[in-house]
Amino acid sequence: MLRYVLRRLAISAVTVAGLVLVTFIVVRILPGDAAAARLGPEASQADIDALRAQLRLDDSLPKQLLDYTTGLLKGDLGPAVSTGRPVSDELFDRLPATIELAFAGLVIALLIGFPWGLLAAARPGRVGDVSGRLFAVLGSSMAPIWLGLLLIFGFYSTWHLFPGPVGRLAIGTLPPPEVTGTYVFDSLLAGDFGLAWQSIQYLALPALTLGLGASAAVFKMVRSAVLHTADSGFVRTARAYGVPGREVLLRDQLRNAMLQVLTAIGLVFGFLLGGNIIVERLFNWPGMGRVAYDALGSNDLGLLQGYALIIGTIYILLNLVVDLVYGVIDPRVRLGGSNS
Amino acid sequence: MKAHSRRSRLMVSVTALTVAGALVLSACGSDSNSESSGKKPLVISLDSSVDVIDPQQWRTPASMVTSGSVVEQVIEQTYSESGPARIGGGEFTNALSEKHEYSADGKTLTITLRDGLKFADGTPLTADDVVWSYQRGLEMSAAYTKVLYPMVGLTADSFTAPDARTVQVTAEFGTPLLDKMLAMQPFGVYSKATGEEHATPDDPWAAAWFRENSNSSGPYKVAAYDKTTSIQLAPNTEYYDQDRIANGGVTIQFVSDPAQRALLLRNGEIDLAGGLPLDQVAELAKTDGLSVVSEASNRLEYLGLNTTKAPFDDKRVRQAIALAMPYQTFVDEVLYGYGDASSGIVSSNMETHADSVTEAFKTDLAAAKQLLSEAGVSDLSTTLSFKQSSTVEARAAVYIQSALKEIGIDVQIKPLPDAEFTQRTNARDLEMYLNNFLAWGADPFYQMASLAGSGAGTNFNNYANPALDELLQQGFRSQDQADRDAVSAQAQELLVDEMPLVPLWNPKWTYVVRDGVHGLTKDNTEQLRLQYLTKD
Repeated sequence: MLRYVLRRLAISAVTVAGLVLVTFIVVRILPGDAAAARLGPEASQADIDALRAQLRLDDSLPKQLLDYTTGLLKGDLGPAVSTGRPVSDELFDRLPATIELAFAGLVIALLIGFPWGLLAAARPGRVGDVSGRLFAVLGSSMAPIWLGLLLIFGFYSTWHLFPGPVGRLAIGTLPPPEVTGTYVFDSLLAGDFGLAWQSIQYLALPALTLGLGASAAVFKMVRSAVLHTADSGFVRTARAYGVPGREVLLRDQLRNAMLQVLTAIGLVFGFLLGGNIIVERLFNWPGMGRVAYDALGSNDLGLLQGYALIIGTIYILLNLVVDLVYGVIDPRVRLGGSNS
Repeated sequence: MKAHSRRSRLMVSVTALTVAGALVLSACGSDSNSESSGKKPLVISLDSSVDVIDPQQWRTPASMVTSGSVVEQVIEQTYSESGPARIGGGEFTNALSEKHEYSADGKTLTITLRDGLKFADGTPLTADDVVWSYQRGLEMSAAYTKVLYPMVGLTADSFTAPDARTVQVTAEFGTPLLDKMLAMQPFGVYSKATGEEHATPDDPWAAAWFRENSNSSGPYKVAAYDKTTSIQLAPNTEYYDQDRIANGGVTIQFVSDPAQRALLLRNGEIDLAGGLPLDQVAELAKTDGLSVVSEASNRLEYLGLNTTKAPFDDKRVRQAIALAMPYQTFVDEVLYGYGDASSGIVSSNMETHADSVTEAFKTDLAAAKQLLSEAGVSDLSTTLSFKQSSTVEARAAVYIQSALKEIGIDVQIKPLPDAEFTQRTNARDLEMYLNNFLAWGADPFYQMASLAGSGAGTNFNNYANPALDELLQQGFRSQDQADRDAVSAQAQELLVDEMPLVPLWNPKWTYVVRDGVHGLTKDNTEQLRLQYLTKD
């Protein structure tokens, strides 16, 4: 098991190093001069040159990469030229909002996609299966921005069931004392149930926008994984012994399908973390995605690089966790890893 | 069954507690919003978020509006009523100053501050603070304002404080632009003591601290600021004239999607919205409970031409393109009426505008073809670039393409990512592009120098003409209005003849408000002055 863990850690470290390299190179070949962007068109060339020197943009690429990597090891992602603050501050300040939204989206995706996928696999070809497949096609093909607009139009503008897209709380409401940075949890910790309820209300529509799309992926994965086990010998044997169908489904088929389902959940959560730029903008959700969107507009390449790096690293860590959990729940995985 | 009913009771209790909590909270919220003074708070949303609250470092228009509310200037514009709006004019009056006087040669301005001025923290505001603020705008590396000082002949030695209430500003030459500049937000007064307290050896002007904090000399102080969501401005109780703060505070909510901004306005969650797409403005104008406030603006949308690249190095080609433009169509079809057709680089709303040049901006395809023929240009193919984020420019590009096809010029439309567009305009390598510009202070010479002056940072056309530069310098330094009019007219005529860029239209200064919102005030930087906003 130790060798399996070490091997997985090594692979993750190499992947992170590759990510650092790729984001570094991509940002350097994109058009735009960070110094000129920060100082504006009326800045003199002398001021631009001075800022370029200060930001070390005139150094050779290998030197810049070395400096950048050294900074990364110290937790320094460089300055955000659009605000003058460290990139790490700009992004980590927003990380809790993004995690809160992605987590809520994941919960919705699981609540919808998991039982529906299980039902579809238990009775293939029936109404639950056919309707689920239709839902999966719709959910996969509908752009989040379109779905979000529909939800805003219906639930806010027309029926007034949910609040408007103004962010995490009502206009003028102060956030709870910060503990985790997630408003629902922090409000509960502060004993402010009203604020927690308000946070949930404001979280609902963006989370639904994210979660409905993701639930289609969860549905498809659960259905496919559980169906895949239906023809297995252990399922046939259990049925031959007269074990009730529900028990076979939940105890045998689902447990064996969990490896694939777990992978899907990890991937979906990673997608929800990194793929919510449009949703955050649409709902004015002050997360990292919106920072990335604003950074695009202000030509803040350092901030974009930091965003790609942090989201990519989280994604790699999620995969690492999933891989490690595999090893725990399925001995074949870790033995296979050791043998190879 | 028993367990089930216990769980149900628990759920009911939790729900009841939650609802009760929400009611208590909302009750608290409404208490905190009520203003005993009768001045009501407003919630507004502009076209950008507020990333910096230092007016010498601002980057977005909303930052300019906000930061201008937490500093006060020594003088300010006078405003005149124009329908529901108040428009800044060419006269200036005292603000922090009790009086301000120029020497006979116009080179020395002596400012006497009001007695008893204070910053928001209660510390006195003195002449030292004014001098420190003006020097900061020139010497701080992050200050974009330093480009303005040479235009009015100011250097680091120009500012002195003979006593606690007297400031002397000595320029190398006298110019009317100095008043305009000193009335702008970036020339507001900062607390020197606060700045020195937060200065570091690497940051002697406390640029980092003032980006996110303030010790206000202006009508508001920052009550709450979340860079991701909103900023709440509360009236500054130490402000020298409380009667000039017409509302109970302003919250600026950051809503990046203009469609959502319009939706929130429609649903009554915000009182005022700026930066809305003009098709939505036209739509909202028909909505009950909403009004559109739209005033003439000096912002200029123009077609840039690379004057060093053939065939655009021939002024006859540039003139032909100008004659082919469908100026009124831009206003009617692209701006939905919220604009004025081109009247020149110095628009008809700006002082010293020469009526004689307006005629040059009439569509005349026959004359355009004749000029192209004289220039020996045929089968010309070129590329028109613009920022892909601009829907207005995208629409205009189609009309330009169609108009130039009429005179035999084939135009490829090329929207560029904003970053690439900025880089390529700075590199001056685009052949033909759409862009816009606003001269602060509504000064005609600043406008012309910025767009066509040799080597100017925002002259992306590679145009250089010593004769024009000389006229502009003469205009900058002239204090006689008749002389300024004459010099400006000469410069405008020269620009019409040379046509280094084609002025296309002036978009109107436009906001949509809920009924009962008044006092929208446009200053010389074309930003809102929040303290004059009121709500019935």
